[in-house]
Amino acid sequence: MQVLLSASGIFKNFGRAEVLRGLQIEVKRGETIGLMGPNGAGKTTLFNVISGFILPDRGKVHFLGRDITSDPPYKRARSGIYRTFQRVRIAEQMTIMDNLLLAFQDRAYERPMSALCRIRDWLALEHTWRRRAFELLKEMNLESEKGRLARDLSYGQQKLLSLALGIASDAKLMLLDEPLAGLSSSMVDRAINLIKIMVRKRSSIIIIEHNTSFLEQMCDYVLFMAQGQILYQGNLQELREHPGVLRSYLGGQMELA
Amino acid sequence: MEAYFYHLVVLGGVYIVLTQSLDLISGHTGLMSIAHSALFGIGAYGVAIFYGQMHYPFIVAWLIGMVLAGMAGLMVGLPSLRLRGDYFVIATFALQVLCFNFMNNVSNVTGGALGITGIPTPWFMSTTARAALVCSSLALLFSFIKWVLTRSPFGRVLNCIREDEDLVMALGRNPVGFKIAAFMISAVMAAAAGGIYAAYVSFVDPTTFTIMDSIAILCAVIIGGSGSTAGPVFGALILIGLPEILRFVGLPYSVASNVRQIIYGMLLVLILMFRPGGVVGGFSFDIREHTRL
Repeated sequence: MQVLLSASGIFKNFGRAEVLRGLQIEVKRGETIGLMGPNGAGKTTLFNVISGFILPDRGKVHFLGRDITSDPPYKRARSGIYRTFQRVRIAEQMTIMDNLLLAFQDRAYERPMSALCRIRDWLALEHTWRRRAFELLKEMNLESEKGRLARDLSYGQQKLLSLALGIASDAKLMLLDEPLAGLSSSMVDRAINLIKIMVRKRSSIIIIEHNTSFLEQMCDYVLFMAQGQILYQGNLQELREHPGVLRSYLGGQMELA
Repeated sequence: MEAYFYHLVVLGGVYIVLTQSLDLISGHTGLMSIAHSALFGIGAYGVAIFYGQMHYPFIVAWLIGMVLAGMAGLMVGLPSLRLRGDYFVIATFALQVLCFNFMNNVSNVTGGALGITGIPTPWFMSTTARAALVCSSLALLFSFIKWVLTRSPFGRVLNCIREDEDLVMALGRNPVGFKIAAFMISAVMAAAAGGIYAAYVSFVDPTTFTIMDSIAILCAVIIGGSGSTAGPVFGALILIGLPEILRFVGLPYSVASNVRQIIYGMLLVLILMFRPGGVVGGFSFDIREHTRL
């Protein structure tokens, strides 16, 4: 399988805190990977380094064989990396439909001149973008809410929307930061539904999540991070017996659920 | 009476173009500008100098004013829009002060504090009725342009920049380029309004383009309702209507201008407390996020 993303020797310090310490990761096309680890292990920082919101102190990030270590976030997004944020980020004072259209719309029509001089063209295309957005809304059970402002949605619905933006942007690599945290069980089902769409579209996915039964169901394998390094890579069964893993979760006193 | 009505239509039209231009940047892109009366002034001085004094055709002078304003917008936007947040407001403040001082002090170009008088009235504004027709059509045209821009894919990106720049980047767009483009378009529109204004009143002087005017325009947009098409129109009407009402109340001129500032201030506070979206607004400045009220 083709290697989609590889990051090697990633170091990142915040002041004196060493958050990432020589981290190594490789993601192949179509893989779904769970990323676990105690709080402060550096999971979100790793996402920030891959998506470009934080530059590493040392190390290289390659995506599709190209060195993207110093690319700004929007360039990485263009080459196919989408990430969600732990705190949901959507355009609150835009309608749900407009949020999705932003992800669907063609960048070639975003220049102000083409907005004015090629009205016919983008209006025609907007029709298809709307149709595709509507399909996605149906998957989320939100089709009747499409005209509402995103800030009027419940927290769970907002989280769904942020997942949907990833599907709409057609990214090759999805970085999902705790997509299920804080969701009710019916919302969890819908979120899983959306993640399954990503899997069907052959996107590679890395999911930060603590819910092990969910990871067992979705992921090809899990990575366990502690103290800025990948401590373990493999399936969940063996992870539960891994001595280092137990130690890093409260010194081995806590049983993994 | 008829002439007076036409006069109000002319001013209304000019100010609608101006408030729409400001709303594009402040209401839709979320960037406060307090330089819009200066940009308005660049357009006005462009017409005063190139049409009034150097006798270029009006349309050429008008376009020169717009290009100059666009360049001023680029000059200010290029360094400050790379940064986020309040730097842009400070940069526009600098532009405002710079422009005012240029107009007020570089006498051999701008006529200094006396300004430039005797700008001939172009043929299409030779009567107040004609001027009213021209200005209301321009107001319609520029409102339409802004309406199309903000509903286009371009406008959708601008709206998202107002909401969350990180999200814009996560979706693969570079916010900097969009912000600069939006500010330049806004500057050009403001200058277009200024050029027409100068041709109508036939003189320009620096006191028309002060920071207080910039703030009044911003207040008008927020009170009317930012991020919409109707809001700035309503704001422009307040901007034109309030002085006229105060005139009829019979306050002496020296008092009236101060009372006007007080009323703008009170209206702004009331609107932000009870109707943060403005009278007919789309996007709301939610002050509850910043203060406890």
